[in-house]
Amino acid sequence: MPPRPARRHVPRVLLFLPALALLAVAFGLPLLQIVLRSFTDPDVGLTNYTAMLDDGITTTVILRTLRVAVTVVVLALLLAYPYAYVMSIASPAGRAVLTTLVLLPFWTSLMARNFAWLLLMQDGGPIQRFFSLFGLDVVLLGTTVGVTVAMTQVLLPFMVLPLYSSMQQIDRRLLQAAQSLGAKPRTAFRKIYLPLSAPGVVAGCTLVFILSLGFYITPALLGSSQQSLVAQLLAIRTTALLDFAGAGALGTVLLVITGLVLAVIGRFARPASSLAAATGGVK
Amino acid sequence: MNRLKIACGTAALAMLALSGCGSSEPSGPPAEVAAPVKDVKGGTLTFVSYGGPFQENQGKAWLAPFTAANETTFNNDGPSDQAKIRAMVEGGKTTWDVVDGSPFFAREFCGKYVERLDLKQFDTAQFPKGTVNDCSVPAERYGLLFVYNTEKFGAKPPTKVADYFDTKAFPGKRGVVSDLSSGLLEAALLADGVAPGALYPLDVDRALGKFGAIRKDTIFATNNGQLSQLLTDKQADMGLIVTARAISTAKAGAPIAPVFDHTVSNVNALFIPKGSPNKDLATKFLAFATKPEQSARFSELSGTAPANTTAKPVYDAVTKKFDAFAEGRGTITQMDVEWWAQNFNATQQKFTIWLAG
Repeated sequence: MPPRPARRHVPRVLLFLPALALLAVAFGLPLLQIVLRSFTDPDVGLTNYTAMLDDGITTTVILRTLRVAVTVVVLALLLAYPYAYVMSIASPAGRAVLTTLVLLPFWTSLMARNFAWLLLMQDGGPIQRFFSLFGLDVVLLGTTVGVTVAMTQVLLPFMVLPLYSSMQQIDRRLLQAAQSLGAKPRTAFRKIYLPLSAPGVVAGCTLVFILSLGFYITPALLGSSQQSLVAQLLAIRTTALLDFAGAGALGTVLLVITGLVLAVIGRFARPASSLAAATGGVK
Repeated sequence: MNRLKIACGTAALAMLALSGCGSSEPSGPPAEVAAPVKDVKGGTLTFVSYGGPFQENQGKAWLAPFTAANETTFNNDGPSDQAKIRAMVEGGKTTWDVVDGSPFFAREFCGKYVERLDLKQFDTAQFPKGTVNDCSVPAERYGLLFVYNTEKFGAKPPTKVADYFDTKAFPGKRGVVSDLSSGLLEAALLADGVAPGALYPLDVDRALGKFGAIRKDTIFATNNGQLSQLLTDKQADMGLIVTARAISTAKAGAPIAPVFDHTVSNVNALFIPKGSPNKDLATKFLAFATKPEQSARFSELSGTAPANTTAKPVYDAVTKKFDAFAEGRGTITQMDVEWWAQNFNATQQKFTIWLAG
């Protein structure tokens, strides 16, 4: 698209202002309140934090949540990468079908999808019957494994779409160029395609990871109290214990962990994305 | 562009669904109405309960006749959520007038998040002992019923609450809702041989130990709906489940039967969140809804027992079968609201850690 110099006199920053103002009022302010409260209610200090880390369960649950989130990210990436690749090389009609298949879950209620998993996973359900054909007794409902499987399915679109949008922009002639210069297809993929698709990988992983950390419905429905994730603890703290400050502390810890992970991903991903930016300019 | 359309459509649908939930207008024949307690009429009250058929039935039994007598209109809202009440009161903007919720909450936060009631407007002698306090009156009563699958245990059915904890004599999965106000800890202690009169102060560790012994055979459901599902799908062969849900599960076709031995009972409470701008009208409604006629009508519709002991509900066959409050069906122990109001948080904390550990 050609640039339009005529519009230049509107400072572009102004365009962000409405969104920024909305975020500040509807998100920033309450967040600040929650964080402040976690340090001041009932007394000023770290009581909420020390109480939380000493209760013998919160740390376990946070670690369990991180483990589940990482597993979901890896599984979703393994499933989504080839899928997005096929989407990016398919014919327009094929691509439309594949896109619809990815978006279909978005048109179905989250509850409906989770209840579908509930029926599939329950004792004597299709999954258990299938595995019993091979003499295996598989219990998924109420376990972390079951929750992980269902979360991967529910969050898959958030991995596929960023991957596809970044793969779509890759100039495939670069691969031909590499091969004409003597690279084997595998080498061309590893040295050209993989780094170029990295921004999509980073975006997808980040999205899925963050969503997994705070996921509530799937673990609440398919997991069990014995295998709680952070969101379930948060719910108990707010709705049953009315411990807003304690819940705020737990939320703040989750936020800090998320921030740290994002910072690490950002550092780790920079070489790849700068390479993409550099080669993107070659077009 | 397409995606934008989809997003807008989803948002619009969500709003429709929300407004649909919020506006289940009560309808039904107005019942006979007693003389007004205090001279306030008209106005609008926001009534908050647990949604679904439960709240619809309250609309038929309580709201509609009150409207007929006083020209008061009702906004229905829900679900009943004590965290929301706390947030509302702290924010200085109470929009709920009447709430059907936990008596422990009303008692613990009496005067703080909940308005004190003028108890002179109620005939408190008609309420079961220990169910009324300065801030709440009982709305309905329920028992925590021990039910079992008749197909599985038909030949040799369990007969006492201790059998729920006896996985040797009665092997199979157990279901229970991990909600302390349903009385599961009390049930464990009764099963362990504690006399109904000697339950309080509650020996929480002993109760948890009792559940600990059958832990690998027990499914801790998040709510009664989930437990009902577990019993219907035969994922659980036994359950400790509240009266109304036992009845609806049986009516839905699940082969379950109750065991009457020592039954724990509790009430839902009606109360007014602190700062409600319609306190007088709300108090009048509370007095009206807890009268024998309204109490009986709601019991007939919902299967919960009436909170007013002089009410005379006429039950259908299934409800009769699961009515733990009928004559000759073992002991009934009402949960101690005072004890729970003081110890709920510590106990919930302990229970959460025990559950997740």
